[in-house]
Amino acid sequence: MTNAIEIEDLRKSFGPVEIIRGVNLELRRGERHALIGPNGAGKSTLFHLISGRLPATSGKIRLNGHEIQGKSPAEIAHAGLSRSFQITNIFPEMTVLENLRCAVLWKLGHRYSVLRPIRRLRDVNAECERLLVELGLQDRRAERADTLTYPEQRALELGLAVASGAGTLLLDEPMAGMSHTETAAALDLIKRVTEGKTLLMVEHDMGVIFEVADRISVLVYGEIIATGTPEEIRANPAVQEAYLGTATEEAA
Amino acid sequence: MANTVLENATAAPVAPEEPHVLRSGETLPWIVVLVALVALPLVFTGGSQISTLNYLGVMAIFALSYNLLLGQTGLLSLGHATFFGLGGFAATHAVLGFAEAGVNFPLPLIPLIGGVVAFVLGIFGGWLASGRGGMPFAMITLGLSELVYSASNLFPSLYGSEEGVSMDRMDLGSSFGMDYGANSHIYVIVADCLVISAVVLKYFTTTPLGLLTNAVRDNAERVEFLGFSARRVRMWAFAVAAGFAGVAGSLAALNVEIMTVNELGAATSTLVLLMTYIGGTRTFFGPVLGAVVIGLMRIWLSDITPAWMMYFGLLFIFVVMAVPGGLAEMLQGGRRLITSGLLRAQLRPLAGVALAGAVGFAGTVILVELGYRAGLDASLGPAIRILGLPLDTTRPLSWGLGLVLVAGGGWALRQQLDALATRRHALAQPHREAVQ
Amino acid sequence: MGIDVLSFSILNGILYGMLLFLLASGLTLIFSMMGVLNFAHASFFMVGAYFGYALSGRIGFFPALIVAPVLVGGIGALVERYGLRRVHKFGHIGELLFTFGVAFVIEEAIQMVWGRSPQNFEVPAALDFTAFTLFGTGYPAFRVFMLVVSLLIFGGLALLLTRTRVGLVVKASLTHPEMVSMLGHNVPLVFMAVFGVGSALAGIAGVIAGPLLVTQPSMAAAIGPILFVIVVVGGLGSLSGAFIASLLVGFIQTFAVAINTSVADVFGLFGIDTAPTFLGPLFTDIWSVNVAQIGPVVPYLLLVLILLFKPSGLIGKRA
Ligand SMILES: Nc1ncnc2c1ncn2[C@@H]1O[C@H](COP(=O)(O)OP(=O)(O)OP(=O)(O)O)[C@@H](O)[C@H]1O
Ligand SMILES: [Mg+2]
Repeated sequence: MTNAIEIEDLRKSFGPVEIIRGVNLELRRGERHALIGPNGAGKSTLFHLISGRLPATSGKIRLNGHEIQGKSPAEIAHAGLSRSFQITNIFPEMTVLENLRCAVLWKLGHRYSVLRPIRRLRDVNAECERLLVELGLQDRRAERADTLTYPEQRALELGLAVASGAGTLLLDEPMAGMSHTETAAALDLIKRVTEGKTLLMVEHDMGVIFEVADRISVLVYGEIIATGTPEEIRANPAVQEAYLGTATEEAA
Repeated sequence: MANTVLENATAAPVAPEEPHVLRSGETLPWIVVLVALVALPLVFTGGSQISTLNYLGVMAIFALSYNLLLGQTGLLSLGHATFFGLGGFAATHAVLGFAEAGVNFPLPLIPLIGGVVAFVLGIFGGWLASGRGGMPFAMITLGLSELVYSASNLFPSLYGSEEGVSMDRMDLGSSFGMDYGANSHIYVIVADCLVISAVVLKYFTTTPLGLLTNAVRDNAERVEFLGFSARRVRMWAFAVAAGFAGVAGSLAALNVEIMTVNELGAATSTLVLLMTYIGGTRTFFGPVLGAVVIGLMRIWLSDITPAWMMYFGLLFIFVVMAVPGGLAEMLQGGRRLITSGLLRAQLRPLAGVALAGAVGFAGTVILVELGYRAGLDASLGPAIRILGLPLDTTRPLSWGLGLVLVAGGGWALRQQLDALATRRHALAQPHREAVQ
Repeated sequence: MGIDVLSFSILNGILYGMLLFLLASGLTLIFSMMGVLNFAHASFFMVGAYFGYALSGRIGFFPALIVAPVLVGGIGALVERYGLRRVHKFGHIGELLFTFGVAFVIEEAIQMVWGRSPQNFEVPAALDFTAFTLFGTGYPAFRVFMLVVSLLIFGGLALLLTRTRVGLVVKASLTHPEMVSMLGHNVPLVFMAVFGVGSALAGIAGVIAGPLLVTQPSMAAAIGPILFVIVVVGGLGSLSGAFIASLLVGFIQTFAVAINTSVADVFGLFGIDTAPTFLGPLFTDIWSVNVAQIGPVVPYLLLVLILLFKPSGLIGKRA
């Protein structure tokens, strides 16, 4: 079985500065993989490269064995990859329901269609209903997205990512800025909606990571300095020095 | 400033069911439009009056099509008249061609031809213009329409020379029991086309593609990550809008029986932008309101003042700065205010706002009219009657009066708006507590 | 085309191109810094021409060359401060619509004050002579003067952008918009200044172009779309792209006027003298088109070609 994602010697420079400096990474199918690293390490940039938001300077990215480097975000989405954003990226003037409708249209095959009003599309309605319940947004369905609370917006952000039905999900700090209880609820949600999918997730909260992740990769200054199970990463002296040391201090 | 007046017009909670910008539950405007379409020709029966009604109907369709771009997809086109004009020329040549071939083609179907031609051209133009939204889109649509406009004098057989291309709408013979000699026969076509266009465009907003146009307006980048091409969404919106602009252009051609290249020039594009935006881009029928109001102003105001274009410009800037929702949203705000039951409590500050606004407005009118009399129309002499006042461009007092009114009105408006805001805040307080 | 026509066309092409660049550079600066495409830019150009005309009647052409742009820049700064800044919260469309409205009102105001007919803005007497004679044809000194002024401003702008701190930040922000925040607390002031300076540049262009082009209310509408073509063709936000595109359009338009050949003439060379009527009336139209008629169309054709083959523009980085 091919890996869900294979990245080979990926590089990205902004002007003279190389931000991603030769990343190699393999995501096994169905695994939950956490990407950690200090601020500014290039985690979000790596996500942008994989999802096609930014073109890479060089290197290869394969999704389920198909080369996707240089393709557009839409093409990569068609190939089975979906993502959420660190900075909430939803449709602010549309309602929650409309946001979700947009996200499920492609997989249900109603692509630039004008054949029937969207209200009449049973499959769309059923799927949106299911998502609303899953995300805990049933009561907010008719609210404009920009009037939601922050955790609700993050849930919607996550919802847009999972709604597309892609087999591989990239989540960029889905719980950033949430309180403890909110984090716990969000974690629960993420576990439920990503059941059976391949997950690559950026997260700063070590507790969350050790609870979710099958494997962890550590990105420091644009390079992956270690990949392994949570135990291996915890025991890795290089990681402790470069990252965990500071992180635990901060947490304390 | 003034926008807060309208946005906060009600403290009552908005109904939670479809708070979407294009509400589907709004039936009142449909009723108003239908009643108006039936009643107006009964009231205004003169031939030229009917022709004016036809013009307004044409502009209403044109503005509705424009709002598919501006309000729904968030695209500012500066070349929408290109498709209005090309549709009109297509219709004109269709009539001429059928007449020459002796085909008895039913005249009411001619707009369909203009619409289809404009739609097909719109696919091509839309594809070119739609790579990006925002500013590039605006610039490119301007460039494309200038291309068509400047190229038009290379093809006199298509666009006619200076006088344009004329035709006789009666040449196709009668159909549906009408011979199309009378303007009222054209009115029947225009009114039907308006209703059909409105229904189709409204339907469009409810389809998946219609939803995607809103998504592109809100956040084009995110649309791409959901698997859709924002460019294709823009392109289809552009083509559909072009198609209906073509229908409107065809109807304009049938109404006046002549097409000139002016119809596809920048002035016409500007006009539809003004109508649509002033009417209101966030409400489905806002553009129709704008088309009627601006259309009538264009006809009446141009008779009574040389400054009518200036007033359009100032009104436009006012709407952009203070009431981005346009006249339609002002009306809605007023309606909500009345139904909220809070009108009485705010009557005083509202009256203050109205009075201060009126004073400022009067001052503006005085200054503008004096300006035109002193400059453009200086040959008419310095004495001029403005708002019933005998003024004189050579007397500093006249200018002083205008300045004082503008400044005083502006200052008072600020005070009154503050008072209104305070009042509303106070009124909203108990409600907030109830919610919490 | 003889060598005389050729050399004069080259001169005129450079002249017109530099004039366009004077306008396009201000537009690009404003766009890059503030993210605003100023539709009223060509209107400020027109206001410059009218102010130049009105002032040179009172204080003479050369003082007017200084005073008029200053006034135009002041108006620009006011428009930014009391208009643009307030509509910023409505997003790009709001800003676009606002500048569009300003352009509309300026055109009306010009007509209100000066009427609808062209003004007789004459070349100043001091520059009303023949600068040099080439192949027996004289070249007017005023044109040389225009060229010199454009080049001086071009040089001054280059110095400003490479030698001063604010200039460096402005230049950096052309390619890295987030650099604008390097300006610290003064961002609003810098925006006002950039808008004012950009408008003043347009004003200068107006004063020196006024006597040559016709000073009339339609001059903004005539040159505005060309400017947008230049900005798109050059690549949004690229000063060097705008420079190349300006010269390109300048040359195209001057040469089109100079060449007086029609399609029929070309076929005439092959002995085909009358339009083949079997191809229909449209073909007959094309048959009788001459190059001078095509001139105004070419910039827009260029736009379409760029959009088809290099949508990011000649030197476009910012997609
Ligand atoms: N468009 C850009 N141009 C120039 N530099 C950039 C750009 N985007 C990101 N960078 C730089 O690249 C580096 C990595 O940024 P990135 O957002 O990927 O970090 P991150 O690991 O996601 O950090 P965080 O934990 O704060 O989200 C940062 O130093 C950032 O300043
Ligand atoms: Mg990040």
